[in-house]
Amino acid sequence: MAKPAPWRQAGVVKTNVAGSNDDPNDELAELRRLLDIPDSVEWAELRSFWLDRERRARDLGERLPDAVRLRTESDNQLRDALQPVIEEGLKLSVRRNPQVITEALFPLIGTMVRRSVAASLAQLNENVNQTLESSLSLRSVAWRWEASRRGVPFSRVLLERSLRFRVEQAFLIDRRAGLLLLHRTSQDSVVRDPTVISGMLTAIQDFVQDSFSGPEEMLESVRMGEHTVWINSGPRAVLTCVVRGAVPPSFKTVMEESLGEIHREFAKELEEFSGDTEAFAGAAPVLDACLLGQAPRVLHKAGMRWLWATASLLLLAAAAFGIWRWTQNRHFEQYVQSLRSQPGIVVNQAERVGGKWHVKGLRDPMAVDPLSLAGSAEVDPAQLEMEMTPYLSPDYSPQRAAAEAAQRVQSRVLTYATNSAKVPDSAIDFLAADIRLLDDFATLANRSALIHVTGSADTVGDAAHNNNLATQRAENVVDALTASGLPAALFDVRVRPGVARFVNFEVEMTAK
Amino acid sequence: MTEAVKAIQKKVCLLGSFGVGKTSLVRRFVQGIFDERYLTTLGVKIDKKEFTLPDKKAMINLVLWDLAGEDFRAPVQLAYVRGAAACLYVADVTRPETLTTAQTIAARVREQVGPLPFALALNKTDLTAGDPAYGDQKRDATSGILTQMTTEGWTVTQTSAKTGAGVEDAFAALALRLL
Repeated sequence: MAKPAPWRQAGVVKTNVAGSNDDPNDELAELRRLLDIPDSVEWAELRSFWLDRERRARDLGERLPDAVRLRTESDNQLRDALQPVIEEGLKLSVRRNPQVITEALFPLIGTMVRRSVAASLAQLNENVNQTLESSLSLRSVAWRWEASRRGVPFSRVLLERSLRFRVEQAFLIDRRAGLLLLHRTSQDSVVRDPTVISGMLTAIQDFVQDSFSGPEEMLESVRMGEHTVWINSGPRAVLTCVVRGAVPPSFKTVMEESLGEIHREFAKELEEFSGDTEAFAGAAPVLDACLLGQAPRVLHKAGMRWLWATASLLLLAAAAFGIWRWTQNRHFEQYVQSLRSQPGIVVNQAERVGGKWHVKGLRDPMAVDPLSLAGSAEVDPAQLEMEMTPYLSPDYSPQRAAAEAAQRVQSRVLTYATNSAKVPDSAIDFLAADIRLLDDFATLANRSALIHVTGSADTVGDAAHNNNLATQRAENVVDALTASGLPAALFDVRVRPGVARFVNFEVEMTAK
Repeated sequence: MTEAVKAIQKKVCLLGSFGVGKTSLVRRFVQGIFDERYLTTLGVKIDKKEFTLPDKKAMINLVLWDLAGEDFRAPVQLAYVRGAAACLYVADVTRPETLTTAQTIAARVREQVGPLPFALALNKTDLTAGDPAYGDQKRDATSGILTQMTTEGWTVTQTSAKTGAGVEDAFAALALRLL
């Protein structure tokens, strides 16, 4: 509005020309024609158009779409100018009337949420599977310990250790031209020219996009045999990893995070990239972090080593147990053998029942106690269960007979008249018979009998005399017995004066 | 890559009619690692040539995208040209129509991808001498188109993939324009 309006200028011309001409109409018309100035009718029309705001608005409305289209085709200024207005408008709309935006977005939100939830669930499912698979194993305990030692999340250790895969190469590729920005490899990987490979990978990406999908859909992985090429595309750069072995889906997250970091850290360099890759050397640690995993073969070897160690240990334990068990059996057999060789013991059954040795048989009461033999055979008596039925063994018949005879001999007591040492003749014959029997049975039982013949006297009278009397009584008995044919070695004379007028017998049996 | 010399990477596309000798030109120029079957399957084959430029303390890595030749069945896939720093068009000196094809492809690249440095390698120059098939008529047609192209801003290098003549020059000239 600062400039003078065109019709006012025209008005000035009109007044000037009209005031200096005789035939103003013709000349004025001629002048107008020469100067290409509209006539008064046209001026009136223009004037009324300009003053009629509504008409102008209608006219602008008609031309606005074309104007917008034309301007948008030539440059982006209109878009840039409108952007803040539209943003403000959206903000205001959300604040004042959220219902409208909600309704507009509603059909989209469902799909978005479903997709996001499905992706999260798939991820979760995978993680749960992995965790379940390994959480109960001995290895997982070791991994948890490793995680706490290294100060990294358990899931990372899980990813590194549980899976048989190895990221061999990582390419950071400029998205537009497919030029290689940075290339990292794990040790001992065979690498062909990475510059050319990154170009080829980009060409393949272009090819797939052109042939099968739109520009927004990207090729995400290529699998051939045990190798998988994982491609993660960002707005300016593409991260491509060559992986050997089975790759867990969670590796995709690792790649996404790495690429995100590169886009953040190197935003300026990516935008200004024109062939100089030096600026991207700093991204090496980020790429190296993607070179995860262990070579399947290496892990396999380690696994085998564990297997061998465990197997060897088990074998060793089994062998030790076997030897122990064999020794135990052998000791028990020796014990049973020694039991069997004992007189008066019969073993009918000897076996292991419920961790204990069970022995069943017969035992003469005169036989040795079976448990007393356990120690010498190195068998724990607590491990023994004896079930021995008592019986009379022929092995002990001579002993028993000898004992019986000894009993009879000991039951005999010879009594004397006062101050007499005369052997009562009638008694000697029975006594001699008993002693002969005793000697015979003792010989049969492999023993020797010694008979202590004790003489005694009463306390009446002189003690020395009494002592002599007692001695005399005992010696007389022994003399009488040897006279009847019994060996003198069987007898031993003892004196015990001051008790009563008698001679008695005590039998001592000793092994020959 | 040595650390003392700065290395710059540039993508260069090779374009032209079918059978003008693009692949032979590259084969003459670099020792590639890919089989030429890639050309028929993917429509592109990639090779690399490292140049150490005289007088300049810089090395330039030309990443060469050898695109499958254009013929009546299939036009060149311009998606592969995206991000290129330059285009080297190849034409067959014995077939004037291949020069026209180079012009039309160049026009399409300019329209769909944008203005890029470009040059023409006029290949098979070894055939011009003593070849009865290469008559005056063809020679005139070729030089006619060449004159027109020079006025349009084309730089032309005569090459022979067979003898190796001019091949290095063609690539070096383009490489220099990229710095």
